[in-house]
Amino acid sequence: MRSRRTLLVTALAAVCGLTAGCFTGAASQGPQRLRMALPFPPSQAMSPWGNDGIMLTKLGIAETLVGLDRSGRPEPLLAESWTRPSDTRWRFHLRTGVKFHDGTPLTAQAAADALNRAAHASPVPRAVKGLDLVASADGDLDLTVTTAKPDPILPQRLSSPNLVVLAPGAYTDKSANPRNTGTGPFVLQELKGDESAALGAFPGHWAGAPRLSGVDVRFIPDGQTRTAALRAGEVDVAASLPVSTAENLQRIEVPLPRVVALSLNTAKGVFADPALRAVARSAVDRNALASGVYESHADAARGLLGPATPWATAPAPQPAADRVATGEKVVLATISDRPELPEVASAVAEALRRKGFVVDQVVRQYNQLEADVLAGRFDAVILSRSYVQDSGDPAGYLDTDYTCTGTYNLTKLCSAEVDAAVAKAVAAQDTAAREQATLDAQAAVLATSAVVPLVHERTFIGHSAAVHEIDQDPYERRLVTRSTTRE
Amino acid sequence: MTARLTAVAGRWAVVAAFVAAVTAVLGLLPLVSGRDPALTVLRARSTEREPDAEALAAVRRELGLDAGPAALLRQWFSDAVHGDFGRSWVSGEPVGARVAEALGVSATLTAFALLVAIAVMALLVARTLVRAVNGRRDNSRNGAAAVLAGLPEFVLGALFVVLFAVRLRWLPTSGWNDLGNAVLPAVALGIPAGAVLGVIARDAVREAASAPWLRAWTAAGIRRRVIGLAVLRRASSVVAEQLGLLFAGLVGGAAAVEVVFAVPGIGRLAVNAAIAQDVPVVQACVLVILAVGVTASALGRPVRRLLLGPAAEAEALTAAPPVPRPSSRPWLWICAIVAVGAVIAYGLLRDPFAVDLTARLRPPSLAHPMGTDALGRDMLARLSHGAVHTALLALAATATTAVIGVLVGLAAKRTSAAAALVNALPPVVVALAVAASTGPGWSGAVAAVVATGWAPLAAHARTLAAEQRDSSYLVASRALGASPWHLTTRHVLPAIVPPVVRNACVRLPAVALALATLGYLGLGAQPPEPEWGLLIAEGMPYVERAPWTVLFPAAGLIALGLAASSLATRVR
Repeated sequence: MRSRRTLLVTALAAVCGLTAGCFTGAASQGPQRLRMALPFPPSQAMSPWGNDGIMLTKLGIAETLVGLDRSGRPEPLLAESWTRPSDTRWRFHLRTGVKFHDGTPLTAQAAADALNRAAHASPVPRAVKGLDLVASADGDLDLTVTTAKPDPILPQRLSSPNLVVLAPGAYTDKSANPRNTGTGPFVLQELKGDESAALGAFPGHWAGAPRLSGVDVRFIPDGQTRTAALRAGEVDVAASLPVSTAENLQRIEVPLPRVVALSLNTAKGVFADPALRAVARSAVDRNALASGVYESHADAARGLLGPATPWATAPAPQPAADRVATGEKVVLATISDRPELPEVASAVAEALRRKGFVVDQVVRQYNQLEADVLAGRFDAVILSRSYVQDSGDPAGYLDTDYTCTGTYNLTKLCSAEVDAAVAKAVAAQDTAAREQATLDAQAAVLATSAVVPLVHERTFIGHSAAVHEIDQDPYERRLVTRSTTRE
Repeated sequence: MTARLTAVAGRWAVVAAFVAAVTAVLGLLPLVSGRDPALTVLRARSTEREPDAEALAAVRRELGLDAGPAALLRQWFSDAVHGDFGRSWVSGEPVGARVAEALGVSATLTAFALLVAIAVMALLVARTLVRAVNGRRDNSRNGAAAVLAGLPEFVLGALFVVLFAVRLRWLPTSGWNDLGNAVLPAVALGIPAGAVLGVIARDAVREAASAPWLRAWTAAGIRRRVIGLAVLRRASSVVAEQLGLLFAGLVGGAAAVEVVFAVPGIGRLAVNAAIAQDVPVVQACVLVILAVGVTASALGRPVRRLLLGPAAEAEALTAAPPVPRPSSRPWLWICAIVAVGAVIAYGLLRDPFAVDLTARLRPPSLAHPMGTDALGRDMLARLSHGAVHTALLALAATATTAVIGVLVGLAAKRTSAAAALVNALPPVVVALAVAASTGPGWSGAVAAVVATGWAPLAAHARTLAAEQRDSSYLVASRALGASPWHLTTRHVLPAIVPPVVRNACVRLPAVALALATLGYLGLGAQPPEPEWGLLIAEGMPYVERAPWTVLFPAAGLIALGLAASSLATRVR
């Protein structure tokens, strides 16, 4: 009996002792270190060419040649200035005195190599796909970037986080490792799988040393738990908080260049009939969605482009349809990845039912739904989509989403007028003309009633009272910067 | 000896064949499902990249998908034999190290959860044991156990985070840095699991305590402590195997809790990889999870032998023939049924779909006796309209698992290797395989839940049947010439069905929730269906602000489990 009890105690002690080795240990703590909670763990060990690219710019690890200002116009970053010697060539002049975290200086050759590597990544990042981009050094601080066809928005494209410039030592055969190779105010020192990352300050940053001494990032996938971590004082900043938890938190609300829209399948089924599309359009109460489901933390949409785009004027309202449906069957799909969307879908479905449609709802995770959506298997789809893509330019979005050759054309819209209007916007050279042409193309798309814009979302960044100077970038590319402080 | 060796070899052959078959199915899944892995991998790497032909071709080229799933599978097997599990399709990182790390985390978490489960079980069984030692019978129902078993792990987890981490600040909300991080997730996992064990253990203690030797020992003046230990020892032989299965099931099946507490465990890894069709990661995860399952269940048998000692071999167990339990208070049940029926009937008159965005999340009031949900829909109406559907489906799924469990348990002479393996498989991985072959719909969800749900019941039935078969009164009947059919139907079945059914019924809320949570794969309930599991899932984002959106459907599920359990006992 005695021996068995000893055995039991030993076994218990052994279990506890052995398992203690399986914890990952607390992150380094120090004064002036900022503790952050982000939703998505890196999917490719922080490789710049996929989802993780934006994390590199958000955390101030790496920088691009060009930045975007609030209205989506290009501004200098690693490149100080640029000119366009010919239709297919752009010349960029680099900032002097920029150093990588490993101590090597930023040269035109390093920047050109970084761009060429990205242009040959697998798959090619969205910002530069189909451009046949070639970059070459043209002296110490000047580089030339050529494209196969004239590209008026190349500087904006180079602001894509996928095109960050890393030190030559970062690149191996097929991958890029941003550890200790960026130019940003913070150095990526440690990455612990799906769990956390540790960043140190980079005193040699070209604009001066950052005011924080480092950043500790935790990846917490569940939105509720992210909020809880902030409320419990475990983190100082928590990004992308769900609308349902945002109340009573100290937070920054940033309107995003995204639109939640009801896309109607114009190729087959009920909504091939433009009159029924108009019925669906008139059924939806956008203000009720914005104030109800989003608790007034979103803007009711009047057009596809929302308040994050200051130059976007509201399109003329369309006439309400006076007929009703007569029991036509509609399959309405949406995704569960964003917690608000199933609620939006249920509210829209109920509105459609009141107009006489018979509605079946489908809710799945995005990657369980996407193939069916692209194949046009549903009559209507509610999705949230960025209308600035990677270049800050909405014309590109109209092109991929609403033209006959568009690669993400959910509505299956194929109309000569829309194609012509979008082509004009995509080809427009100077900024003012491009913005006007984009607004015209938007009007042409809306006139078909193929898409019903519902709301423009905002992002919530919760923070403690001690944190100041968090960047409110609508493109979500910057978050912690050189001037961020924690008292 | 040779026969025994052959049996062992045969057993391992079954295990090996099963594991090979499962990994093969997983490898071929992209082919079967018709979902292009190039698209899902692209999506996992780059959420908003348009999936044009060029991008998909680049991914395919990089991963070597053009060779076809069969060739990839052959390659994988030949590498896996040498211990090389390849690189993740999504991240490009080596799979082996990643999976090993996640397994360490999950094993730790599960070990702590098991400790909590044992403590919960001990609390639930204490009264029964004390009464048994004192020579009395504890006929109380499994009320507390059924309530605890019906609490969904992720609801408990979310509540713990709010209460203990945010309000009281006793423990961290999330992460995996030190021992403090393990407490809340372990308790969230351990409470429902411990309650299920408690139901099984109480039945086992009652059974052990009704054996004739107890009276003899008491009469002989043997100390109560010794008697108590003896009863415990007998009862633990039933529980031991369940503990093994529980451990194996939690290692791979705790994804929901791992997400709530941001624990980088293997369940979460397997589910994310399965959804992204990251085949090498899924294969390695499932392989490891199955290995844990086989090991855990293989330990169950020696433990049982250790606990029962020579008694099991000598057919000297003295189980009593089953005695019917006195049925009590039928009028109470009639009242309860009438009351519930009246509430449901009242709710049925109301509209469960009427959206009113101006009346969101209203607390219970006269106008809305159970409050409203996030779209201003009446909770009472939704609960009532969902009642029949939920009850039928959950009962059907539960009944199917119970029938399969009893049949397999009766047929199996020893621990079923298949049950151990099936039990360890993460349900979502099974669901993905089912979804791939059946397409979206209810039947797929039920099939997936039943496919993994029968295993613990089969193990329970088998241990109970073995006890009965080894007991002296059955040996006596056999000697008197009773046919195996007679023995099974007249003695073994009546003894094992009630405990197994009670076990199945306390699992009913979990079954209903599992059915509902498969919705995001396109299986099972879809909004705006007022199915109860779905109501809980929809209410979760608001659990702190509007607890009634989760409370009422959860209570409904628990009541359903209780009602089913006591009806099942009564029918006998």
